[in-house]
Amino acid sequence: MRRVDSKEPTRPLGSMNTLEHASNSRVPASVYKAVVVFYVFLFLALMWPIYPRFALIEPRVIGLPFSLIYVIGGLVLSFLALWGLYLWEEASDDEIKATEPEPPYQSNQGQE
Amino acid sequence: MPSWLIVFLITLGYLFASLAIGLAPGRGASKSTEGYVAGDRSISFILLYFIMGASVFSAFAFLGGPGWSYSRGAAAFYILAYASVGLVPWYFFGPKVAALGRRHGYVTQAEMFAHRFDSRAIPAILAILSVFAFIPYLVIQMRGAGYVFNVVTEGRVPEWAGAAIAYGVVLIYVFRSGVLGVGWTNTFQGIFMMALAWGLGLYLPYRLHGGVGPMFEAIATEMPDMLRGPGLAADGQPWSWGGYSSSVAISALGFSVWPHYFMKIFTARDDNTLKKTVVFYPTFALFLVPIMFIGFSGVLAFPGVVPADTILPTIVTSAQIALPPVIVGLFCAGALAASMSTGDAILHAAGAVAVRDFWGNIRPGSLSDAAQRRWIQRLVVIVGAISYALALIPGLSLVELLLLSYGFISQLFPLTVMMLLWPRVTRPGALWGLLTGGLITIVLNVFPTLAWGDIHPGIYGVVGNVIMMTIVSLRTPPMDASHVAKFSTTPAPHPTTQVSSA
Repeated sequence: MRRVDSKEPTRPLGSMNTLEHASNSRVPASVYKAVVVFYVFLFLALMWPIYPRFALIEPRVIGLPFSLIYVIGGLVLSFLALWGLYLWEEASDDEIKATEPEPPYQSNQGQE
Repeated sequence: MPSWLIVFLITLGYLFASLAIGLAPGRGASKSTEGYVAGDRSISFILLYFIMGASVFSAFAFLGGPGWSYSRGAAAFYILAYASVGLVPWYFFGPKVAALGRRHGYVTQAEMFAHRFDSRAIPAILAILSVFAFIPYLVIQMRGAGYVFNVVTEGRVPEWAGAAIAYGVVLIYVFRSGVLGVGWTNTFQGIFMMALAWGLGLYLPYRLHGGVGPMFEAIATEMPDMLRGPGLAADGQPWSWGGYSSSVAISALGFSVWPHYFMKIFTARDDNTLKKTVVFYPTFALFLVPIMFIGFSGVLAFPGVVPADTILPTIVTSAQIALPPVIVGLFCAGALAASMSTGDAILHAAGAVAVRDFWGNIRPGSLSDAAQRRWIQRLVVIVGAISYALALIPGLSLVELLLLSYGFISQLFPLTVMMLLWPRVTRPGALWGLLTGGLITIVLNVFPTLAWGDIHPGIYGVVGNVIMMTIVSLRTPPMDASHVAKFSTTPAPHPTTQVSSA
C-alpha cells in the first residue's frame, strides 16, 4: 500500500485536544460541547421513550399528523443547529484572517 | 403514437442524457488512482451534496418509501428520523479524516484503519465485509430498474433486458469517468428526482383526496393506527417501539460509516466543502416527505396492492389517474435515476475497496498506480456482472442479507469513534471488538427470538463490540504514542504536539 508520509501540511493537524481540530476557529470549545450534547439529545428524542409521547395524530399542523410534524421538526432543528455553528465558524475564521495577515494553515489548497 | 412508446422514448432520452453527462468529466481528472477514486480530492460542494444525497435516495427510497408509508404508515417516519442525525458525525470527524487522507494518501476507509492499527487483517476483513454488504444492495437496485422498464412498456421489455440497459449505461460512465462520472450524473439525477417527488407527492393527494390535509383527515378517520407512531409491522399489526427505535438507531449509526459514503470524505476539496455538505444534507432528506405522501395517497384509494413496493408504479400507471404519458415517462426516468444513482456509487466503491483494501493488503506493493486503476475498472465490471446474475435468480430474497449487512456495517461506527477519540485503543482491541460485534449480529439474525424487545441485532452487536474493544485494549500494551497522536483528537498519554514525519 502506498503511503506518502512526506506530504506534511504546513502545520500539525490541529491542536489535537478538542473537537474543532483542523480548524483554526475561535468558536469557544463550550459551544462545540453544547452542539454535541444537543445532537445526542435530538437522537434520543427521536426514539423511545420520548418520541412515543408525541407520535399522535392530534394536533394536526398544516394538515399533517403530529407524529410526522415532530420528525420533520427534528430534521429542521438538526439543519438549523449545524448551519448556525457553520456560520459562526466562518465568521470567526474571517476574523482570524483579518487579524493575521498570513494564516498559518489554509485547508489543503496548493498542497499537492 | 401509442402512449407506451412515448413513455419508453422519454426513458431512453433520460438514459442518453445520463450517459452523456457521465462521460463528459472523464478527461477532467488525472489518470491516477487518486483521480479515479477520490477525484483528485477536488470535488466541490454542489457535487458532493448531490453525490451524498442521490446515493442515499435509492430505489429503496423511491419504491420502498411509498411502499412503507402505504403498508406500514408512520413506521416509514423512521427513515426521516435517522436522516436528520445520521450524517452529523461527519461534521466533527470529517475534516480530521480528510486531513489524514491528504497526508497519507488514503482513498478508502479501511486504509485509515490499516495505518492506525498497523494491521493488514483489519482492512482485509473490512474489504470482504463491504463487498458482501454491497452486492445485495446492488442487486435490489438492478431489480428495481428492470421492474420499471417492464411496467412502463406494458411488458414489452422484459425485466432482464431493462436492468441490462440501465446498468449498461452505469457501467460505461463509472468505468470511464470514476467518481466524477458518479458525481455529475448524480447531480442531474438528484435534481430530476427532487422535482418529480415534489410534483407527484403534492399532485397525487390532491387528485385522489382533494389535498394533503383532507388525505390525512380521511386516513385518521378510517385507519388511525397508520398515523400514530410507531405505525404498523410488516404483518399489519401495530409495530413495537423497540423495533422502531432500534431501526432509527442502527441506521443512524451505520449511516456515517458505510464504506461507499465514508470514502467520499476523501473527495472533498476542503473542510468547508465537507462541512457544508453535512449542514445542507437534511434539505435533501426533506425530499422523502412528498415520497411518503405518495404512499399515503394510495392507502384508501388503492387498497390491497401486493407487494406494497409496487404502489407508486401502480398509481402512476392506473387508468383512474390517467396521467399524460409524458409525466409517466418522466416518473419512470426518475425511478431509474434513483436506482442508478445508488448503484453507480456502490459499483465504484466495490472496485476500489476490493483492489486497494483487499489485494493491497494481501500483496502489498504488487500493483503500480496505473495497474490499480485498471484493476478497479475491471472489478467494477466483474461486480456488476455478479450482481446482475444474482438479480436474474427469481425468488432470491435479499431483505435478510441486507439487514445482516446493516448490522455488520454499523460495527464500524464504534471503531471509527474510538480511533479518533481514544488513543488507548489497540489493534487486538479493535479486532476482538469487530469480531464480537459481527458474531453477535450473525447469531441474533439466525436466532431472532434471542433478541429481547424486538431490538435490531446490530444494536446488541455494537454494545458487545464496545465492551470487548474497551476491555481488550486496556489489557494489551498501548500502541506507540507518537504514532497514535496523529489520529487522535484527544491528548495522547504523553503529549507530543510536535508531530514530525514518522
